[in-house]
Amino acid sequence: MSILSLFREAREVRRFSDRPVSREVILSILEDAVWAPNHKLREPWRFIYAEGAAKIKLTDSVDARKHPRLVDTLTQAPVVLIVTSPVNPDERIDSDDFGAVCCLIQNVQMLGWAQGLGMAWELADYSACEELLALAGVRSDERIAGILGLGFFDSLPEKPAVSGLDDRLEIW
Amino acid sequence: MSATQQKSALSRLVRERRSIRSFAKRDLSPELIVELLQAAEASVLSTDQEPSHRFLLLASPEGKAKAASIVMDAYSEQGLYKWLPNKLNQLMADRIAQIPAFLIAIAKDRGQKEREHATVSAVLQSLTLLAWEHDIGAVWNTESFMHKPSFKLGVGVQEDERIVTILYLGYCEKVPKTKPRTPAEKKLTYL
Repeated sequence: MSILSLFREAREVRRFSDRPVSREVILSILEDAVWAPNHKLREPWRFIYAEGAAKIKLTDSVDARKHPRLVDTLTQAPVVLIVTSPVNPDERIDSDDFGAVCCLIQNVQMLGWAQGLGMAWELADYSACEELLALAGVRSDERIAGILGLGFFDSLPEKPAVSGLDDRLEIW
Repeated sequence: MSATQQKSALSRLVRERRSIRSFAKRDLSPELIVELLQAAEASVLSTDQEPSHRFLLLASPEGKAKAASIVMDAYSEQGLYKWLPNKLNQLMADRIAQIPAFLIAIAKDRGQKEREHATVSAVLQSLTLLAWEHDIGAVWNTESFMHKPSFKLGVGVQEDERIVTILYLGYCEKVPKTKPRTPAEKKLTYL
């Protein structure tokens, strides 16, 4: 009896069904996800939620030629969640906080998957997407750790075949 | 395990996981770590890109002793050795012996530092959750010795690679208490 199979089967979801996603479902996932490890309990995460008209506005603000994958996710997913981490002049704190927020995002991925909610995690250099940042209210002392597309799905996407660990694991 | 059971089991693991810094004197099977790491990677990696990270697992007494001497060499660079060198040696060796396993996460610099860091972090979080199901605890470590050239050289980190973090792993003897988390709702803005 193990959750091993849950992790083995999890995958990115980029195509979603029409089934409505309630705010309560997302919130309950986040209330678990915030138990991610983080240094000195700084809880360095912040969430920005968009759906419907607000989501369309965000989508239209991004140049699809520069960020095709992001625009695809923003268009397809019923709910978009932008997750930020703070920018810190101390490189170690900055990096620790970013790592913690990524752990939280992975929690969201798995908690969602366990209830049939799929997720796509977009992350690239969005510093030039000024309109997106302004619309979302991302501050200058924050960076985006992920733009998440979330939704229920009808058909399961294929499980990607990924490179084995053997060549990338050394054991002393 | 049914889907419903998996859902509540996962929620419990996510909430109950604690960072563990002191471990039980119980052997940790490298084979188990490898199995969990494979499942962790399966939950994160896609076929979009060849993974740009790799791991070094220190799980044997010999392996850990080898790493300990590399760390001590790194500290001796700084002249910390002047002060009671033998005592420091012993403290370091004892500390390392008390930690059943170290998982060093190394990323190749391919010009997408954030994405690479995110991928490694996600893999380690999945691993941490899977390990917790077995009462194996972990803590991330980003101590300064990791960035010392002699340490990197000693563990085989290349010029174009960096150590993202070192995960300390071991069976958990006692689960530490924790403070409650700020409700997610307080950190959420609806557009």
